[in-house]
Amino acid sequence: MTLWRTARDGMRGILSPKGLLLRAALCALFFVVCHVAGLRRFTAFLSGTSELTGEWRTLSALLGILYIAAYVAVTVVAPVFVLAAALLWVGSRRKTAPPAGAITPSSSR
Amino acid sequence: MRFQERHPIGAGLLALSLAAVLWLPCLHLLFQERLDAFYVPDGMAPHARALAQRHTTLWEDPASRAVEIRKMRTSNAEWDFMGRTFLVLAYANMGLRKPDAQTRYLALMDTLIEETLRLERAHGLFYFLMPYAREGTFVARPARSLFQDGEIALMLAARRLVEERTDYRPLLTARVDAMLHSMRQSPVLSGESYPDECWTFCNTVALAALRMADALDGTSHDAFLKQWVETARRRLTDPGTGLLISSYRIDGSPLDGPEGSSLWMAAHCLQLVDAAYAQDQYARARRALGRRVLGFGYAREWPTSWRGPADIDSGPVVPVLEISAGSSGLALLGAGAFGDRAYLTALLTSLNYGGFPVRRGDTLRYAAGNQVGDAVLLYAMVQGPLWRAVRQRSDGKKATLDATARAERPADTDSGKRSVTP
Repeated sequence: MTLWRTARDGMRGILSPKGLLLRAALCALFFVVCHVAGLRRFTAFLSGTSELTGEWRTLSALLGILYIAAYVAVTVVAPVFVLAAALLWVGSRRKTAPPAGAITPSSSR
Repeated sequence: MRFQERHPIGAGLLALSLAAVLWLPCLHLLFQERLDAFYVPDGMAPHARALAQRHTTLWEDPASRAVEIRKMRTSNAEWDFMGRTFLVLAYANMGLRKPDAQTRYLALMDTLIEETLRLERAHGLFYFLMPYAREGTFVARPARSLFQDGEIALMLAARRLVEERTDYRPLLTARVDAMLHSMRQSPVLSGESYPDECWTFCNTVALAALRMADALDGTSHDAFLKQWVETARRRLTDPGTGLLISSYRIDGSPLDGPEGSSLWMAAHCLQLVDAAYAQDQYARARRALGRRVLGFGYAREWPTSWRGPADIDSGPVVPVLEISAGSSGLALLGAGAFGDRAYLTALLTSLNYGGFPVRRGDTLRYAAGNQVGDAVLLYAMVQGPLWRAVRQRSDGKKATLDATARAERPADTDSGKRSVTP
């Protein structure tokens, strides 16, 4: 039960607007690091060509896959997280704002 | 309590789903460009210019060229050879598009052709073939690879069409004679590229070279070309799709089904041989292999009706969607050659997204590709003028022949009739 509660609380944090924005930022950071490290050139494995020779060919393909993962993260995953965070935030704002004409503690005096 | 407060995880998952539905159909808009950035009917589009500049720099610098060629030959020696062919074809088109730069392009074409011929002479038949070529015996005699003969003939003819080079004429004639000699030994009029292995890609390239030779030198292989197409319809066609099969034995027995990385180029070459048949093959390939998903275009290597292995020309295939890098790259050529603007735009969007363009100064290359892949892309972006020039010459020669035949025919008048009666 404790494990379940911990997992549930963890998921709540991840799926909160702040949690989603944090993860979107992590995706962007992941991509920037891969791009600045020059991993883009290893995507040549997609055409069956390797930037490295001999026993390093597998590493070359793996680095290419890492770059592609970072690229998909920043172009697909991160924007979805940001949009979802925005939707949740708008939803929570609408729900916390009092309806027009409602009696509030200050208006009742 | 509201739903979001009662079910925060559910609300989060719902928000993610909605966000995906909103974002995914829009993603392609970030990578879509106007078609005229890649292809224009006259002159050179900006991306074509930048891609050409990179190749030109490569071929004018032996050290850089050697690095690129080594990388390709480590995977596949054929790519070294095909990269040359597509570049020569690209330069031929560029020379016709930009006559003021023709001298430079002709010089580059000559460098490519002469070096290719030199390597063939120095290293023999197997230099540009994959190692398995040595494992069998060519059936036709003498042993020749139509893959090499066809593409060399195409290069020689393309060069001569831009500007005549008389010393290339006997070389082209020799290749044409060798190709025909090989192809006529087969019951399906096809030459081997590898021992007892004929490829539609290579045979249609050879047919295009024959048509170009006819346009240049006034010969006529119309009967042979017509017979090839008729034979292909009967013996080399996949019954499920109506598409040409990609490889077969010299006796016509199939080895593989219809393969994207062969078909797009085959249809393009057939445009010079039988325009209606070519159009039909393209339309079928488009239906069976061409796909558009969320604004991105790609091509399958095999139709859904055929389960075939991926070979080195297919490139890696992304599962589920069955995206083939090799087929998608050549689909760009097909879509451009057949004026399929919508599919071409979608393919170019995919190229911008998944080709990982690298711009340095005024050059462009695609990190996900290699030299031959970039050469194919360049050719796809500049093709058109060379094929038009072949048709114009062929039509011009035909008109001359028709006019000559009419002039030599006795006049069908009363005076004409009187002249032949006793």
